[in-house]
Amino acid sequence: MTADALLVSLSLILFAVEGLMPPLWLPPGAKFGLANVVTVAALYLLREVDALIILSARIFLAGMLAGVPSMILFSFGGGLLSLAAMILLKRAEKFSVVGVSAAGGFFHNLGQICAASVVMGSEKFFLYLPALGTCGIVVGVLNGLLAKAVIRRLKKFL
Amino acid sequence: MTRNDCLLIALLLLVALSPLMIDSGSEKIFALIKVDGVLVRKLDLSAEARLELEAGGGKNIVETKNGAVSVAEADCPDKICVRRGAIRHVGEAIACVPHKVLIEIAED
Repeated sequence: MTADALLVSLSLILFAVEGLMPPLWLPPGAKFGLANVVTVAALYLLREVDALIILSARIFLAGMLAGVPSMILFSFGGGLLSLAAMILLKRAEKFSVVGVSAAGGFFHNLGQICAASVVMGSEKFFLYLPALGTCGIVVGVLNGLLAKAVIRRLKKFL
Repeated sequence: MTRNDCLLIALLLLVALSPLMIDSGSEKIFALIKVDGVLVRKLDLSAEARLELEAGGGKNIVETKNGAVSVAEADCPDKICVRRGAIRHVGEAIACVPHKVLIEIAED
């Protein structure tokens, strides 16, 4: 539980720091999602349920701290689908952290598009999937490489 | 990164890009030609066509080419409809006010 709390605060810090960075080359709506490094690391260092707790707490608190509660709904749509996909792929034991994280990035954006489609009642949001999905894969790979390094170093302490 | 990872990433990319493939064939875009608010012709933008339109005591020649529609010639005094050029996206429009002609792009 202590480790969970620690990782939640860490992911909130990453969320806040990322918000300070200028938008890069990413298309509107896409972001790097540095906080997901924590989710991936938690999935490998702790139990699956810990990753779920950390993710849920981060989404709720980040939504409240950013002052955009409506963000929470979309984030949950993306976050839960992403975590579910990562748990299944990790259990398959055929993929490395990088592959699992790439799928996580993709499904995160797919989940957000699904949430937006349901909320707005229009399937047109899926036309944005090529841009957002590809971005999700790319940042997922980068986050996965980062998570791999983090996991290697944190293994001794958790 | 393992070989399985690469396969997984390739598969995900394919899924991500799938809306592009489905979309290109299924969506038909038309140019709706209205005179004084009444729909007189519906032109398929995927075909090339040249249409002489008698309206409001004058003539407009409407052309569809390369998925876009334009007014090629007109005998109205201001020629604003001709200068508007070609339009291709849903929601765009060309108006020839003297002849009360309106060309709009719409989805089926």
